[in-house]
Amino acid sequence: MLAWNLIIQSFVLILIIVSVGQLITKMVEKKGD
Amino acid sequence: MTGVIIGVIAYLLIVIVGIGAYIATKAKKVEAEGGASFLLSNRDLPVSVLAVTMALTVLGAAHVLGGFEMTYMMGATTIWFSLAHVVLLTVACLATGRWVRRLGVTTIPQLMGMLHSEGSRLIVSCVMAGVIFGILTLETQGIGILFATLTGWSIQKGAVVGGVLGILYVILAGMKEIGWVNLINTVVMYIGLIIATIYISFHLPGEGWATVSEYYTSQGQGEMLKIFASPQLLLSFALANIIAVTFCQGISQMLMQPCMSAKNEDVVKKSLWIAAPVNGMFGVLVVCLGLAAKSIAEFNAAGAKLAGPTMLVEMLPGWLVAWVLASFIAAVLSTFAMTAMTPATIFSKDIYENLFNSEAEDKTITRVTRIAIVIIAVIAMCIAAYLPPIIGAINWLFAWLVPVFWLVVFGLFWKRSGKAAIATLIVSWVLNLLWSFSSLPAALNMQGVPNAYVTLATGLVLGAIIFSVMECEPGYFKSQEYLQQKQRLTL
Repeated sequence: MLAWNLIIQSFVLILIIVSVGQLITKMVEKKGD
Repeated sequence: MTGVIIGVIAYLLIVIVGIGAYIATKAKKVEAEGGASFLLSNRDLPVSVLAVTMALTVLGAAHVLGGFEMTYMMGATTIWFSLAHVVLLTVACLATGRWVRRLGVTTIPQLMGMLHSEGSRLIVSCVMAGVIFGILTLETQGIGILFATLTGWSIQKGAVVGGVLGILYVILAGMKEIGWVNLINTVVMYIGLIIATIYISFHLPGEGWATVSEYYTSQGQGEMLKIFASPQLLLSFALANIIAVTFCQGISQMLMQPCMSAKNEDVVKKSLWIAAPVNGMFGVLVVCLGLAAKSIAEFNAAGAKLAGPTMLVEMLPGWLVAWVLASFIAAVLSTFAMTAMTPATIFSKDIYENLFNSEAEDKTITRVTRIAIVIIAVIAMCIAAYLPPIIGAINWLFAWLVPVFWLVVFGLFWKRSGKAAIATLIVSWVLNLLWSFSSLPAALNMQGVPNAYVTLATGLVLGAIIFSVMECEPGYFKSQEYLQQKQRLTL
């Protein structure tokens, strides 16, 4: 179903963006310490 | 339709005035004990309230009205507009929002003063307040258009009613009122929008969503069903939005003031897990409804701006139209409230207190902010009601704050200099004006390049060069002042 596909894909993309952000922050903070 | 309007206004008034009055009564006790409740909610916002406030602050007319219109023209690629806001919230919750909370500032211009110079504080306060005021006029016009398309009212009438509701959203108890009203509105908004999407799904003609997909395929527009459409569209639309939205709003007072009001830095960081999906998924539901509307001939004929809203009015039962309208208006009102509150905060802290009354008590600051909110909102209502649609100004507006983002990053981590900061700002802003109002882009054969790219280049690249060649102090996080502050907090 089109709507369902778009909702799932978008949710996964949101999770990826947030996780990448967290990962970068952790790496930068680790380097800073 | 009268019943729908009465229902919507009654719901909004009950929630806004009810919560506002309750919080205002409690806030009086806090203020009596010397707390600064109105501007920063006494810096006590918990994760849930902060997260929805951040999500709704950057979810307004462009998501609702622009969402339907962009979907009609570009299809599912429009979802990148929402994803750009997810990137913005990630940057705000993990970086800029945490920095401003850590440093305990009240406004971004104040931070500029702390990092670079009082001169940079003054010019940034004027420009930032102006940019946010520009967004406020867009939101006010958005409420007017929403009322007009879903109820048949005139845009002027809708803008005035929306403006009054928007003032009530903030005037009674400030930041805490905005936060708690947002929390209730988010729940009501999402339930309404999900029910509307499910209702439409069961009442689509033919085989439902399969017929919608078939329509686009048969028209040779199969690309409109994909989030990852052509690379060209991703570059010109997705990337442009990510840059403009992230680097403008990522340092704008309208998104930073809720972060400054958080209980602590950790609360800002944790808020991301709620703020990102709450903001991001709203646009996805709008895109689904927009795709369905275009595939049905009678709504398609209404054109890009009206296809989506017309489908909602025609297909949903009256009670659900009222619910969806209340949800959309609540989304826009939350942005209205923050865009009225933040220029007023900049005025009361960076202009009134900083330049004219440095001894002002919190009570006086609150009074000045309240007066400023009403004046700013009334001017926005007049502009929104009587000017033609001004959504085209948004790219130009956003581009103004992009260099401020980089000056804050430079000042915190690398180098600080008042002269270098002002030079970077002036060059960026002059170029932004030339890019919009002269033939410079044509002369350089760069007509399609958005203003945000230009101010990103001047803010980041030219700014880096200027700071490299000029005499500067080390970045604030490397300074003795910060180390002492950190030691005091640890002790």
